[in-house]
Amino acid sequence: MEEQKNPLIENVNSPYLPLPQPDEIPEREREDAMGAYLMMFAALASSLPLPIINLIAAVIYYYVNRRKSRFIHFHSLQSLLSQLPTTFMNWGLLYWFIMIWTKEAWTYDDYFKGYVIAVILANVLYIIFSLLAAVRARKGRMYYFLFFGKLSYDMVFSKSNTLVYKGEREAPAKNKPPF
Amino acid sequence: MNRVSIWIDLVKLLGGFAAIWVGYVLLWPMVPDEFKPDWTLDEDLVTISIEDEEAIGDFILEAFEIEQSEVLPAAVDSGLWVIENRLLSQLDATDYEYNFYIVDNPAVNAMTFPGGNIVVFTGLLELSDTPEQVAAVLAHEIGHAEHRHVVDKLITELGITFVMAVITGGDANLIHELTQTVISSVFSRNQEQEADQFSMELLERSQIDPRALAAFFRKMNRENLDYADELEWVMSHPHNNSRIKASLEYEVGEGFESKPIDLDWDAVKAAL
Repeated sequence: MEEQKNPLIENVNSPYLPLPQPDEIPEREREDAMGAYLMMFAALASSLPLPIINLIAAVIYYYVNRRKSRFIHFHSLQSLLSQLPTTFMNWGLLYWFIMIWTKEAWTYDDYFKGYVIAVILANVLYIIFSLLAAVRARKGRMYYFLFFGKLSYDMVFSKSNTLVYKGEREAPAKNKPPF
Repeated sequence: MNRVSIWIDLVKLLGGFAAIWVGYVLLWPMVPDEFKPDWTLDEDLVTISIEDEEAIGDFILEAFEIEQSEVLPAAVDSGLWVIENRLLSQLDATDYEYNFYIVDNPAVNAMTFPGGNIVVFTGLLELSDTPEQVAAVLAHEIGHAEHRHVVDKLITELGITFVMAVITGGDANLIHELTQTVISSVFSRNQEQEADQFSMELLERSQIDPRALAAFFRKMNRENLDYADELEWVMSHPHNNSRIKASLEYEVGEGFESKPIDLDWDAVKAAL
């Protein structure tokens, strides 16, 4: 198995915590992780003319779910982070388009057309990779986007991450040593 | 080391998108036109025959009660005739039999009706400094007709069924609606550019300096015509500055020699 070759899992000196394996991740967590990608689609579609609702929804989803487990945190963070640049590019396109409509000096030049192509590509890639990631998350697997995957992994699984997760919270000690 | 690879990924991602953007801007202009896909909609996909268009034109002229400008002085009529003759003689292979009408109205306006019927308001003649400027506007309107913009506009706004109903039925209400659409709706910016381009090419062939179009736009700007108060000509012709630029930058072929239109324009205007 590919995961077992990962030197980080058993390496105590690694700055990262071992990754949870599919059989350790409960159904509920997998669904929440998958939801992080799918929910943002719904929000994206509902806010197409003015892409702001999707961002608000993504941020809320992230903060509601991130403490549930590292696996959910990783996937919702990756989903949120990868959505940010896509949304900003869409905003830029909207702004540029409005300028062309209202300002005489702005025209449909090649810079605009090139930007449109880049934005379309960004959205298509975002959708395709989000779908792939959603399927993987449902199976209890990790899935790393270019850049956003590594960044999310670093933020969530780093030992320096001090966030307290529900599943990892230690039960209050009932049995205490005598001294 | 691991963290460095995160930022390397970021550079790859940004670089990829920047490359697409810059690549398009730099490389696309180098692609020969014949390899470029035609993004414009196929305008001939749904259309009507020239005969049907002429029938609609007749209905509209009737609804407008426009007839040959009998009420206007002969000097104006013959003046316009000289200008249109100059243009039409250089218009090869046209489907239309052009008719020009002058309407006594102070608005600076010219309209293209279906079937090659072009209506010019006296306000436009009064504003023009030279007959060449009128020629530029007329050539622009001919461009709308030749590119079949009027028919496209009607079909887009009303639908082909409606337009066909007018042709076959000639119902007064339908004609009224159709006439309103012709008068009130505007051409797209793309269509205006096409008409401008056509105008400049026709002017060049007619030995008229294509910059006459720019001169007319400038005149409109100078007169500070309030866009909103004017009729279709001005409303549908926004962005005069970029059009002035296009007209001034139009490159005439080698050996082009402009020949003034032989007309005492002041006398024509005085007769208005």
